[in-house]
Amino acid sequence: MMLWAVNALIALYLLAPVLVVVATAFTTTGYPVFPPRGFTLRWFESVLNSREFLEAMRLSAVLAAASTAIATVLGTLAALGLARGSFRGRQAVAAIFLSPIFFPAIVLGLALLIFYNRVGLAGTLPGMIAAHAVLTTPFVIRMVMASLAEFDPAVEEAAENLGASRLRTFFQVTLPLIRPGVVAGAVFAFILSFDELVVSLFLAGPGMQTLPIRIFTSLEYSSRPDVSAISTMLILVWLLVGVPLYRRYLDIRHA
Amino acid sequence: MTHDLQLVGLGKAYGATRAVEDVNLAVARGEMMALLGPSGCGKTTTLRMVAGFIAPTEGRILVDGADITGVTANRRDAGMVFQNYALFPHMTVARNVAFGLRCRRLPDAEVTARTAQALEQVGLGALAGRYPRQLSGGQQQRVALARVLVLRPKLLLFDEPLSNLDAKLRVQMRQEIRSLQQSVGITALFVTHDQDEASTIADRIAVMNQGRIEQVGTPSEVYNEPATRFVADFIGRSNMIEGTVEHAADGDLRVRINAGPVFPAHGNARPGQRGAIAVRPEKIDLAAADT
Repeated sequence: MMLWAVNALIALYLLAPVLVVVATAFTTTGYPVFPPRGFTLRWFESVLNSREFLEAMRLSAVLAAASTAIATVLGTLAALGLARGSFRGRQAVAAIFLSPIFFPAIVLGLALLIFYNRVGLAGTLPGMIAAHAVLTTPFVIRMVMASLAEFDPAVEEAAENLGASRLRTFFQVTLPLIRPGVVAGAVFAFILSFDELVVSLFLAGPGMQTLPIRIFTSLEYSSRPDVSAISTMLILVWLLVGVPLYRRYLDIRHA
Repeated sequence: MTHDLQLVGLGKAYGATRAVEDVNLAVARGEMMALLGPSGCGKTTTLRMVAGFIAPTEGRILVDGADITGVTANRRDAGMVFQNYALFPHMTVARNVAFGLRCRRLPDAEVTARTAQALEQVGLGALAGRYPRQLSGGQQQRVALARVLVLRPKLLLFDEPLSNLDAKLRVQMRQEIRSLQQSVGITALFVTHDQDEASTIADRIAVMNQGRIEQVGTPSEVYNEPATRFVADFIGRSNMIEGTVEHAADGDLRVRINAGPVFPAHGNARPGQRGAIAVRPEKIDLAAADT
């Protein structure tokens, strides 16, 4: 009973802010208010009719998809190399690969801005994609390394012994067995990129508004509840996409 | 069509450590050779060099006289049964067994037929659709066996395949592996640290210690005529009695036990050499003393 009550309190503490945002999306007032007054879908309509919001969403999706693809491939290869290789300085290389996790985003943003100005990548989409890949690759490495830790290398030897080439061994044996880690890393990378504000603020060119930037600026200049509406829509998308993925690949009971 | 295997001066050094040193071994066509020794004696390293997982630092591996030392593991045609079976956990039993055939790009009909036949051979026809985790240890062992037998390889390599089974099953699987190997007539190397296992399963035993082969012989040869002190001590039980050779002729020795009585013994030694006589406990008879 006690345990149940504690759990309920923790859940409330974690979810209450989210629930407040969802509730304010339906208010009839011209500004977010809790509890909401009346009920309207007007703000959802307004978001879906707003070219800026749709454009921002599209940009964020493209950015997240492209950087996730890069991060997943690089991260998986790096994890394999770090887990299997026995070369000098392996620990140091691992530390360097994982370091973006520990850098403050603002430092990374500034550093990338200075560097990008030199090489002419500042304000470009490829530059943004590369920056997001830098941010998210370490998480893929972590996830894939975790799944490699439980992996029996004898299984790869068995494949080779039975006549499989390196390539076939990777695609038919190794990859299927580390897939939970790869998928988890990819999902994580996508969410991080889609959510990224600080580094994007530094590197975005004029007119390049990712969804977080768009939400951030519209909060600065207006106080209409469409931000609540778009947040509610994002929550819905994660419930529809993220939860099944989580249950399929990350839930320990299924592993 | 069976093949023979020869190891010529095979060695593996890791820096200054020599895991395997100057191993010379000839395994005849269709023979089952056990590599027996304590852990760390180099038997597994030797097996893994034959499989192609470890590159030797010296020596050669010959199959039918052809040097395969530089051939990659996936082209050696030497089917290995691993200690922990190493089945593919994400594939059904049938797909595990078919894997090697698929690698050889054989037609579907042949893959299906040979897979079914191999599963029948090990008595697992009914379990083709199961996943490895749904099988008992003994059944997984049989899948691992079927997975290599289906390829009709030149060599069979066993890396302590029975050490994870309970005692009763282990004895039963020994016999099964032995009769399967004899019926298919494939030359085999069997690594184990269990001397009972080695003597029941193998035609001959190569006893290894500290990276070297101490003796190669039939189970009764290594038991009754150990070539070195290590073999005498490692195989079965022996009483070791230290002494000095006083007289030697054609392998018949007279050994004086530390200024005490003189014993007859058998072996290669020169007068004046120090050594030990190994006496098997069951060879000792007690008789009434003459008074």
